[in-house]
Amino acid sequence: MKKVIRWAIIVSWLLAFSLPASARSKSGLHFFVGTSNQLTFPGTLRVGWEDWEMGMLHPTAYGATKLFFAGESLYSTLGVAATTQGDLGLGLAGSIGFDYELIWGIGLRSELFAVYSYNGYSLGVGIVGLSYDF
Amino acid sequence: MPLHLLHSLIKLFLVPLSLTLGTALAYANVDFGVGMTSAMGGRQVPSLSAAYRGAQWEFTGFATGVQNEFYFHSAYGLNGYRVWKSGLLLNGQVLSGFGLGAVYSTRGFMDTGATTEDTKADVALGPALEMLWFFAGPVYLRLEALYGLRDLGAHLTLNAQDFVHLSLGLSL
Repeated sequence: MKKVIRWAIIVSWLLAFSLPASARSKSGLHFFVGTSNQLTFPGTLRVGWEDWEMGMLHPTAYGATKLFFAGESLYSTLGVAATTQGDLGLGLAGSIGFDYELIWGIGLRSELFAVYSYNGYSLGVGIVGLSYDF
Repeated sequence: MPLHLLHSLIKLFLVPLSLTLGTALAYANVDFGVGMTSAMGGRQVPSLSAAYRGAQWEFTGFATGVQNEFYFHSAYGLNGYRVWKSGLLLNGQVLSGFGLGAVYSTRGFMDTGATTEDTKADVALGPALEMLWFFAGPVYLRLEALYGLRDLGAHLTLNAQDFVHLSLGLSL
């Protein structure tokens, strides 16, 4: 299973630089579920509405971020997150990634994610998964 | 820091910077801030940071350190980003950046009764991102993350030698 996920990661990043991007923007309700560092699953579980999404950004960070699309598929996010590693903390979370629509509203989504909490906890990891737009 | 490494870092960041200065920029800003970095291993040691931002490119750097009679720990970082305006968050302009970065960290410890100091240094190079939010006019919060390249196997499990830096500052 881990081999399959590793190949999916390689293919997803190759796709990011090789496929022509299709027009894409978030509208209405959308979801994102994916794996993160150590191939933890679920590594993220987010529900969104238009430009905002919230939920488990990472197993150690829960919060809400705003999505900023730049062009067709490239996006960045910025928001706040409560970090749960050690003492509960509040921090700034952000990411940059891509979200390609594959078929029927399902997208291949991958990002570099980072969070820094005022209590000193920080994290920078990759996240890969599937998005779904209603 | 080894001299050849310092030389390489200067070339890596000053050459692109000089190219940027030679182009017709629509605007340029210099930022100064204070913050904290994960390069200090979770300790909340203040860092000083600065940035130069052109129309499309930005270069940031930070320095931090702590020292007492038993140990010292210092860290330095340099990043170069392609930046773009992303939009508004609570009426504050958000800029995103993606590029390359480097972090150099060194620390030393002298045990009780020891005559020599144990020292260790880390260098990380890799892709980097930043999210810059001007939440109150020229006052900003900047989140930066460097994903140090080290082991392909680790990267395929979505790990990297991560260094995250958060700073609060003023854009001049």
